[in-house]
Amino acid sequence: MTPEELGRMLDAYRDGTLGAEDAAALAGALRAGGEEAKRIRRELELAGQLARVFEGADDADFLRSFEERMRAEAGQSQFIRAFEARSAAGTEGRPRRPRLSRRLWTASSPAPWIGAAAAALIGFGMVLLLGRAPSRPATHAPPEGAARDVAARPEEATPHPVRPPLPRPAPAAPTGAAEPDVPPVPPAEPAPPEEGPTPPTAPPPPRPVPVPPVSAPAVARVEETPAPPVPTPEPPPTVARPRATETAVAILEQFQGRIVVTGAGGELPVRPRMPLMTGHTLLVIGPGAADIRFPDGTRVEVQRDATVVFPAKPGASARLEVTEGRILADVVRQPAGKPFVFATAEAEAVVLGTRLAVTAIPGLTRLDVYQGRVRLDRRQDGASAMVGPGQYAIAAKGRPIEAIGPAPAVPRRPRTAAVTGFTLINADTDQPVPGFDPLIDGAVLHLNRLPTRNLNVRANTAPAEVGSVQFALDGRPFKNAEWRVPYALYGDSVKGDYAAWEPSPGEHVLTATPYEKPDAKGEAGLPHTITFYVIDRDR
Amino acid sequence: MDEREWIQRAQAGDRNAFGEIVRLHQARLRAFAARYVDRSEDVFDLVQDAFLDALRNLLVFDARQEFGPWLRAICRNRIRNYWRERRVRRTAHQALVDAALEEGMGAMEDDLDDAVGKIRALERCVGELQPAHRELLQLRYARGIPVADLARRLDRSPPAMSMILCRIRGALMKCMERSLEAGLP
Repeated sequence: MTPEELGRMLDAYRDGTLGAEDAAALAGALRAGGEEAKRIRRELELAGQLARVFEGADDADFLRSFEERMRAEAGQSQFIRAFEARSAAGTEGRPRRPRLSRRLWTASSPAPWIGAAAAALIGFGMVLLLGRAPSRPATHAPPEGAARDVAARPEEATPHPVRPPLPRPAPAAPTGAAEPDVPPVPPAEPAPPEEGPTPPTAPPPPRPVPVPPVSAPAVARVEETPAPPVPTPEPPPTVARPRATETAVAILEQFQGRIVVTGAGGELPVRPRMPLMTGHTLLVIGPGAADIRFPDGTRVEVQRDATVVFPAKPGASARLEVTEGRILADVVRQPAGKPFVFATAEAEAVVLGTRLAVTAIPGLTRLDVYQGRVRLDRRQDGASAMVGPGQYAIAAKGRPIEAIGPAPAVPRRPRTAAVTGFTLINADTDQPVPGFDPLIDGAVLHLNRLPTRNLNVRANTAPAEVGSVQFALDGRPFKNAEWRVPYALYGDSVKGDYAAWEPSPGEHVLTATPYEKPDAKGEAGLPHTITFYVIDRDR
Repeated sequence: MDEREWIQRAQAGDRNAFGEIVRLHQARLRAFAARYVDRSEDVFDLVQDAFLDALRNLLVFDARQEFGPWLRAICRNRIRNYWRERRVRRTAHQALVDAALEEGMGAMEDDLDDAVGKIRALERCVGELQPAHRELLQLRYARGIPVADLARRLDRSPPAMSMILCRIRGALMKCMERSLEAGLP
């Protein structure tokens, strides 16, 4: 086969569009060996190498990441026990795990050796990170065998908070062949389900939960002893610092999905009606939401994948910091001169009483106002915009801050068709991504928290079938209009089998326009436009 | 201190020594895994998993043997496991090719010492490409955008887009060969 034919086949193989004939040809060539097989392997090898070149992660990134893995492993006592036992066996020439375990578990403190071993592993990570020669004495790492020595003297062991078990990677499957020296590894765990978000840690309570209103006496001062913070899943950049005194500023009225609240003492048990204190951080992990109520009756819904912080700084003007994601707020009328302020990294939304939404992604803050008027102040230069009902404004470096909208009025002439909304599709399962049906204006997509990176967007029309739908992404219309249901942004190879698309991080503006006839011909219907934001923590 | 001594120290429980082993082997092992797995984030995870497997099983390793082949064998197990898990997401036709690839997995290991050098050469050659071609490769290989989508984005037909990619890859291969022959970094 010619290089072009081979290239086309391998592209199709990679994209999952390989036909039966080409698949048989490729498999046959590989099995036959020889030059053809070498060419195929070389091409595939190049694809992996190109991915490696473009990934941008250098050796230091790898070592740093591996150190984090080691730290995570350090929280798993079973692993530490096994490693400690091996280390001991290695020193003395034979395994002695039972004796070691028995001796450790009879210690007065609960497994103090875990702390010592974790400290040793963290020290090892430091060495990895800094690239020190291990022969030099490491400041943070104990000398060889130190963990065992400390374990043998539990009274000297440093107390160390033990993390909850983290999800372990799937172990490798046994090969049962060839490599006599390969250690036996357990069989593969079943593949994770294709669809659905991370299961919530706590069952979501039924909504709505009747809760009495928070009154002024509910604002109480609570003394807490500072303690080292316990890591939480993807902690936000502004993790609450330990404080001797915390003040209740709101309550968590109700919630759905997985919610994490951290305070000075680390992660707190989450329950409906729990008080939220100054310095607390609240995270919504994956699909879900948390309803917060302030004493004055102001309500804030923290939406999926969003993080908010209750400022700990005394006298801070902001009542709530939106670190990431989107919140929806219904702010009651505030006293003159004492506005309710939502703060983000880029801006402050100063509110006297209204319904609004604040969306924060790295480098950009968006304010949507549904009722009343809100001033958006940009931190960078103090520029501001007054945003009225139906309008929005964006605070970002290098962009003018101004009120935009409201959306143009519907033309008077009756339309034959309309795009009524969008749905985010999981291209692996061809089903809507939970929480993104519809994909609303201002939505924030965290790629690493979605069930897949293989995505697509479906335009929903009225009527359900129209002549064609023309998409435009970020102002660029696509060459071909979608002419059959489902109307997919990135197409569907077979009817309903969506092609995969991974959106790039940042802001995207998506427009779909229905047409009376195929190929975007005939009368144009009512278009629909949204702006959405993509965050990719892996990049 | 040579590798054998690091291994012996690691087997005796010296974690710093294991850190040194990771530092010595990670680049080559990542280059090795990149031959079989085209998603760079998966390569990253796989290789870390392989090092953790090695750490867990370090005592069964005979320190008189070569450590690299042992580590690669562990990594190969991880890759096979990854392929098995991936099967549920593959089409029947992809699976046919996957099976043939898996059968001949060892056939690609005859020039392993060059794996890191190839990556370095490729980095250099990619840097010499036209910006538009470099961006195209990034969309295709770093972000995994299908050829049909790239074609749509750039107003080309899918076969034409495949042809363009094929020519860029061909140019890169020639450039890599030249670089390796000339001993360029």
